[in-house]
Amino acid sequence: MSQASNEAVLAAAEAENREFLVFSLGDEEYAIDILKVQEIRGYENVTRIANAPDFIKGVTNLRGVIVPIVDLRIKFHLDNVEYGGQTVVIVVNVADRIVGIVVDGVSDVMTLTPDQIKPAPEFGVTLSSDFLSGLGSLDDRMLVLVDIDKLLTSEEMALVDSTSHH
Amino acid sequence: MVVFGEKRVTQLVRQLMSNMTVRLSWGLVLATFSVWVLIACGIGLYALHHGANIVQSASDPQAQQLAFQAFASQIRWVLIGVVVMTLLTVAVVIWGVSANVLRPLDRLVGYFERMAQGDLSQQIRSPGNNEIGKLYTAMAHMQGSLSETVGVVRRSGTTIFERSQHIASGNNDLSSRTEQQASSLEETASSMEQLASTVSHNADNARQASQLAGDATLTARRSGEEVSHIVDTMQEISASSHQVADIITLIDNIAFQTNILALNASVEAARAGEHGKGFAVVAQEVRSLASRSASAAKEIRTLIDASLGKVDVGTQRVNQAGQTMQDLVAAVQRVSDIMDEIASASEEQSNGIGQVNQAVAQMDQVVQQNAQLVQQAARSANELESEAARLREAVERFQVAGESPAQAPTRMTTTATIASVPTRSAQPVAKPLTTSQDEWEAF
Repeated sequence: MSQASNEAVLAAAEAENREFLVFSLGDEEYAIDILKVQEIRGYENVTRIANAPDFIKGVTNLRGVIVPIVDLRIKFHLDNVEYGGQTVVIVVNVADRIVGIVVDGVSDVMTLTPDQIKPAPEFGVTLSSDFLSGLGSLDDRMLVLVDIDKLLTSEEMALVDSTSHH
Repeated sequence: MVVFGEKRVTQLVRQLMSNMTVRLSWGLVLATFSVWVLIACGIGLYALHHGANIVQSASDPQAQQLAFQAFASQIRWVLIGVVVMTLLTVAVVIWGVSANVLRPLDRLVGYFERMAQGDLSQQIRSPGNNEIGKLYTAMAHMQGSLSETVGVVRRSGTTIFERSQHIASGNNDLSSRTEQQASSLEETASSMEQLASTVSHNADNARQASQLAGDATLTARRSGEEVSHIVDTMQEISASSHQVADIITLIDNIAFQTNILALNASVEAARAGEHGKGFAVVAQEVRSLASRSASAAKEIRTLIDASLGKVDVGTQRVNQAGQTMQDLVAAVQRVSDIMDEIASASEEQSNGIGQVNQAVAQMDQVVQQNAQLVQQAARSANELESEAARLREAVERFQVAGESPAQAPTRMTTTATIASVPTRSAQPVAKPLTTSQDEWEAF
């Protein structure tokens, strides 16, 4: 199945170059499909939701739409979780839902050719390869290509939906 | 044998006569003569009585004449015998007087004359127990007590002489010591002058040092004020640096916002697909500008941070310098106080030295008086010595038993040598006082 998806990705990549939004979490750089991104914002104070998991920071009102804010740094168990003027929220549109994800910073918008995208290795860790669409190799940099749809609609993230329904 | 007996008899008689008192001998003489007169008178009365008997008994003139003649011749012989006996008695009395009275008196006169010549060493033997003998005994007593007195006087003269010698040598020592004292006093006075000049020099230096310390205090205070100005300036620099840092933060924020806006523009351009290609390029340029301004702001922030840290360090150092300056001011103030104390102490020392100088002058006066007294004492000792010598000469005339007369001249020579000592001892006394010759002449 993963092999099939990889092949699909590769086939898509062969078709045309894709643009990715590169953001950083800790020391690593991750990339998501730019077409999933709706907006990039600075981090603002959010309304906390009681009894929610700690990686769900709360909700915020984005031009009349209530948007849940998820901190991927907490989700990925990073050590330094700080909120400052440089902290950025990427608002993504996933499955007709709008979700804000908190990252350390947004560094770039990059265009990757299909040969620059390698298939992701498989190993059973928390960030399973299900959420990885591949690894982008660009000169010395290694970008982790995240399938944001799968990540946010996974069972772990199902809460997102339920909280967003609130 | 007979000669020896006669001599013995004469000696006994002499002894007897010597032991006979004048009253007894004169009584004996008078009694003897009275006996002879009585015998003569008795014979005369008996002759008268016997003649009358003859006249009455014998009527015969012849017989009377014969009887009377016989009796007269008998009486005549008897009278002749009485006369002879009387003459004998007179001769005995004359001999006795010359032997018992006149010759002892002659010897007595001889003794007196030798005593008058100073010979007290005669051996006076009393001839007997009578008045003449008592005279001898009394004379022997007189000679004894005289010679005792002379001995006492001689010993006292010697003692006086030796003591006056001691006094003279003591005067010598005393005068040399007085001289030493006078020279020591002179040295003390000159040392005191040196000390006084040193102390006044010291006081001047202390005063100058005090002034310098005061100047140093003022300078240090001015430096402290400068340092506080520097501190103020440093704080102003720090404040403006903080303002710059704030502005930099603002610029940084603007760059961040610009970056986000450019990213959003990129996202929009990507959505627009082919139509957004040009827009994407513009957004890329804007992003690169934003990142450049962000990195420039970062560099400026780094520089400002570094300069802020340096300003902080400088402020700290300047504060330390200000503290050090205050310490310096306090220390210099203390130095100034101490210098003032030294100056006042030097003045007190100067006053004390003045008092010491007065005391030294008084001591000098006293030493001069002492020298006068020593000279007087030397003269008195001199006179005492010559008096003792005269006394000795007077006593040397007497010759006492148990002392040879040859000792006297040697004593006299020692007297002569010692007599020169006071004049020698008197000279050093006058020597240190040559400066005050007028006083001495007046004295």
